[in-house]
Amino acid sequence: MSELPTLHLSRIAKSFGSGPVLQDVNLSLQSGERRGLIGPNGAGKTTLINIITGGLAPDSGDVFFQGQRITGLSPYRRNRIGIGRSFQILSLFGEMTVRENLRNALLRHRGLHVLPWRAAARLAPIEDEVAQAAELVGLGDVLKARVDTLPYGMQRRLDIALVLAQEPALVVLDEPAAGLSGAETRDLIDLLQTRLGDRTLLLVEHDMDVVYSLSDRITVLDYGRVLAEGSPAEISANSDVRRVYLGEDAA
Amino acid sequence: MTHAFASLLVAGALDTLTFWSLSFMIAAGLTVVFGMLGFLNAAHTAFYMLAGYAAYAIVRHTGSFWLALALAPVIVALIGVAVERLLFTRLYRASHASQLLLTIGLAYIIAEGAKIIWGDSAFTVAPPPILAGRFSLLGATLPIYHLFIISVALVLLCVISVLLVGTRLGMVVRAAAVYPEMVGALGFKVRTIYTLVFAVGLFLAACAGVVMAPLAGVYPGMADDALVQSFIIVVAGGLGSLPGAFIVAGLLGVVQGFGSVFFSSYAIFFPFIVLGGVLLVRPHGLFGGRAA
Amino acid sequence: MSQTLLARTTAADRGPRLSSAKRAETAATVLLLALLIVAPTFVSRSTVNDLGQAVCLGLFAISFNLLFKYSGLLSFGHAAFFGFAAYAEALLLQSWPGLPLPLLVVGTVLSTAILGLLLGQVCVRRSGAYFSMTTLTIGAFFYAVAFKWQGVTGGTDGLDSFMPQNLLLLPRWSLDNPGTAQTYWLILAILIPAALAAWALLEWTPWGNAVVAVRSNEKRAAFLGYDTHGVKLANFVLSAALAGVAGALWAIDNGFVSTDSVDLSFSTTVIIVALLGGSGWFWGPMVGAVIYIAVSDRLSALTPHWQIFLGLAFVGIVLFAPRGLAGLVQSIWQRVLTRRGRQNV
Repeated sequence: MSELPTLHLSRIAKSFGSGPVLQDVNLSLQSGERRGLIGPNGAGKTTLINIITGGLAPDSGDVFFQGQRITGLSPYRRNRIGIGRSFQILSLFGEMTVRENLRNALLRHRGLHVLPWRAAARLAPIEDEVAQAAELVGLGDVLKARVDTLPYGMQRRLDIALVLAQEPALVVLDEPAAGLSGAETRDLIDLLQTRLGDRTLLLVEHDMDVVYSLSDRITVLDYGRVLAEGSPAEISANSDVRRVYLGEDAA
Repeated sequence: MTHAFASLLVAGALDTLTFWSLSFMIAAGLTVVFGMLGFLNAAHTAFYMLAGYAAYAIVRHTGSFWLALALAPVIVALIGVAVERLLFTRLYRASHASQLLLTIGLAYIIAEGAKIIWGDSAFTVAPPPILAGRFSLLGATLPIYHLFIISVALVLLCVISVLLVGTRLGMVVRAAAVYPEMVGALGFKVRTIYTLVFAVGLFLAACAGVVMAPLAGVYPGMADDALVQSFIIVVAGGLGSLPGAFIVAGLLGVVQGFGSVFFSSYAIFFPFIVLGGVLLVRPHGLFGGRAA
Repeated sequence: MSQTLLARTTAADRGPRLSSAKRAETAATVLLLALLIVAPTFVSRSTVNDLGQAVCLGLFAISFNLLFKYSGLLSFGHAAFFGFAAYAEALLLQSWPGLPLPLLVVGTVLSTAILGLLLGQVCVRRSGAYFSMTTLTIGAFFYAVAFKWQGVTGGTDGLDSFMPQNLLLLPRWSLDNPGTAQTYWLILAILIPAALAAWALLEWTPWGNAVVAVRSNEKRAAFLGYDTHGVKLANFVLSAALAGVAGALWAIDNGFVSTDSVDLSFSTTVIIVALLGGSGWFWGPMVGAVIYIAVSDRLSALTPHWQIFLGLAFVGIVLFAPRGLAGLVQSIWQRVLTRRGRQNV
């Protein structure tokens, strides 16, 4: 029995004014797979993420999630069917507390955000979940702190906590390690390895330690096309990749 | 085509061009300052009104409309520069809400100040004798003054276009609109450029205020009337878009110029019809990007 | 500046237990409402008349602030809804003079809410300056309609001599004497529940959380599954409905409707009323309205050009007191608290 892929991209193309950004991109993620997406700057990774999570419509091609065609669906609808994403440039509820940030994610996830009254019996469990979600990423002690006063590393972890709290089937992380120190990056890898569970992951990242530690398979994007795809070992050995990507890094 | 119909058309066309000239002169500064600085100046048309009153005062004391046309816009632009330096620069990075609230307050102060000085009644300003007459074209007898308004607008636009395109300063200004940081890094004082643009915008609106005075008089509500109209031009044209403002002002001119001939009692609704029509076709304004 | 002007709407962190800020806010709410209710027993009749105007203006300002504080949207044409409701009520009464008061108010508010739903579709698509300019244009349009459609609206003369006769449960009460405590209390009997419902909804329920989340970070809210357009639209409709309640009650209190109630300057007046009281507190605009009516009465007796003070108030508030009077009181209160805290140590 072959299960439907969690995410399937079919012949995605996208151009901006300056020219094509993505051409004929095909990508398939099986349920539970952890996929790294790498490529030099300007390869079209963030554009692809926006096409998957709903910020952007492709010029042609289709996006399927668990067999359902979701091309053109608005971001909030994609979130509700199980796609969660983080942001390369942090996007949090800055003037709210950690607790309120997580509550925003959980109230919505439990469908309680439209409650026109304060149903204590239904809301009390949310507070416990909020506390747990904060605990999971090591933010249990700063529940009451305003988010924009927190150190950058903590804000990064909250970003991921917001995604995980909603238990999405597909987790899309856009450079989660950007701006983190070496120690913080190792913490992040630990965190994701323990907390992702069987969720499907699509990870865009420049830090190769993170990519290699977390990915089952890696897709390399270059000039808007899929250059190579394979296991981490295969990618390391791929001469094309070494030439356009790792080669530059090693230089 | 009957003779009477032809003369109606000619009259409508002249009204269209007159209205086009005036509304573009008023709205141009508003939309350019918004496009460049992200600053929405709700007191913009209060300065236009101030120019009308200044022209009235100058004509009353000296009897010379030409002196008023030369002086009033300069005075108003200078006042505007002072206000921009003292108040507006503090708010260039603030929210649109703060900007609107402050400038609405300023509009109140200018409007009430004008009432304190000049009272509640409307004034008429006589056009200079040489422009007071009428001329005949295709059977229509038309006011010469309308031609004058159109030529003032044309001359001003030509001068500004030539300055923008043909001079080094114009080049810097155009660059500063798109890449303020880069122009700043190249050693130009972006602040000064902004002030200059602001002043030119007010100067244009003030010129409109002066030439408007003999046409429709000077009255306390003229700022509000022009504000709604300018906002419509800016919204329908696309925020910050000068070509958009130019085209919408033209549309308004057509509707106003020809509409008034045939459905004069509903003239008050014309601007809304134009706005509704434009936004139906292009929800973000003629030249409005999706992101704007 | 934007942060401070829009104030800190996420009222301190709501943990399992009520925070002290939340308790102080509730106490202030109860105190304010109690004062409004008992006021007629110890002020003169003309003051009661002013007070009736003030609470209607206050509710109108609250409805404006619903959009400003909770959705970050600055409406420059809110009088469209207030005026629409006032005219709608007058026209309803002219057609059916025997319409019971509750039905009349419900009908008026419902039609205003529907208007809000239609206009909101257009307005809420864009935020920032675009929203303000769109609402201003709509406000100008409604003024033009009221001004021009004389057969229905009476033009500049407006409409008068309509008064609800059928008060249903209160057969011996009458609205024929504006400015009496009876009229005032009848207005409060509708006004306070309406305002309290909105307050409870936005300050005490998850829905309020959702509205504030969308304002705080629209992009993130969308990617967390919030239908951000729907949330803003719903809040817009609620705001229009509340403005409708205010307009309906104001028309009852006055016994006449004119173009003044849809005037553009009325839309700006309500902004200054809301900011004066403090847009950061739900009830701030109500306080602002009482102060505004009191002060403008005295100023207008002093000089015909009292509106210049309105302008100065706008400028002053933006530059020096972006959180209004409620904000000033709050910061003084906090200073007192910290000083006392220090003395205790």
